[in-house]
Amino acid sequence: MDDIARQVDGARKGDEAAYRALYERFRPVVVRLLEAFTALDADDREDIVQETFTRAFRALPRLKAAAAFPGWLLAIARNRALTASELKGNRQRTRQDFAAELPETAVESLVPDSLRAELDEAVVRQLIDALPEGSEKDTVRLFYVDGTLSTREIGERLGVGKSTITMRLERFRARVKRELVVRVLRTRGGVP
Amino acid sequence: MTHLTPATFSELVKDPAAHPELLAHLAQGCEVCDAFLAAHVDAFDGPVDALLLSLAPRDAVRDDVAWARFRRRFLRPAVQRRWAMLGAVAAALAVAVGVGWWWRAPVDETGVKGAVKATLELQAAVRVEGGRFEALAPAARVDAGGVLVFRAQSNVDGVGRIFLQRGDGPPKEVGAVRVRAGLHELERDEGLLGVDLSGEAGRVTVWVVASAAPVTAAEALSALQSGGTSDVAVARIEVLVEP
Repeated sequence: MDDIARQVDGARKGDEAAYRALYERFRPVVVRLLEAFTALDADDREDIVQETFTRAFRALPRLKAAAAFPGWLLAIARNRALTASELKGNRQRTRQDFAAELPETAVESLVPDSLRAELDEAVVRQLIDALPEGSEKDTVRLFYVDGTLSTREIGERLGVGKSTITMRLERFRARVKRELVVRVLRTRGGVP
Repeated sequence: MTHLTPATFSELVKDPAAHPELLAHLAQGCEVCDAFLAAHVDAFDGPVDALLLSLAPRDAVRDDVAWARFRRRFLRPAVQRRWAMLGAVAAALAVAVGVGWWWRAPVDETGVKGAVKATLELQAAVRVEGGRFEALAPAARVDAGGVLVFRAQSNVDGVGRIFLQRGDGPPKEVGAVRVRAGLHELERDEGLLGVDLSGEAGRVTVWVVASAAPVTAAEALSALQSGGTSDVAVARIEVLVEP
């Protein structure tokens, strides 16, 4: 059992030290995720961090595989951030409308408990390397690989606005997601 | 060309091998299908984010203040969720503030005319059973069911870090509010700041450390302990909570 699984297991039993270990380990990751949501200010992000961990910890008994905790936690954070961004921007929430058309069980059954077998860091680095040299590749490298600059700082360095940085990151993220879906489907269908 | 839609995606998920052309199309990259996956297939979002963010690993960060704040909210919710913005009562509080019946007249100014030293004064009122508000005298006795709200008089436009001290225990940071120059209620984005005293007993002190420029938690605590600096104003409200 690795560290995460051990901490999740401890938290499920109500061990406060395990809760704290998970909180301190993944809070920086959640904060980094939220930095890509430019509609949110610092107060919004802090509120979402608190809400994310509260929801995640209360729902821990429903988490099937402890190893899936990081992705599960980040999915909660992303969902909360999207909702907050949409409310703040007074935009229509079309995601839920459309998602209602999809048979949920079919999609969920597609996702294994842990996707490490289908896609690892090396594959993502290959996807980054395959990007044409230019501003999009620089953006992805600075945000995800270097990982220290905020979207505003990256925008300043590259001479574009925060929203442009967000758009580039989302475009790359969509490629990674597509690659993951394709690999899972091929594995599932036995398609080379 | 067939793109991903709810119907085609469902078919693909059911039997990938039966739709080699669509799978090949997806693998080649298609903006329409990427948009579909990005917007409507949420189940992969978490794993994708976890993978991307693992490219620049982040060390665990020990943060006693952040943990204490979260712990109050999560681990002991029935007793310790006192620093929530009390949305349900915010409207009533706003009416009360608008009427102003529970505020005493502003006390005398403490800032020295022409000086640049940051100043801050606090007044507090307590919302008691039945929804009434009562202005508080210094070191007032209040019931544990009360909720404290605050009015500030300041020459600072910035942020106020809130500390809570029980008895002679160490002050613990529990949140932040906006502070403005002039007379105003302390509030956050959600509404007025409310401090729920349920579960408290004995002497409770609420400290506000205000500054125009952000200060670290350690700097705020240092200013609190020294009574403030030229740039950081400190004020407090002390009550005696009776169970």
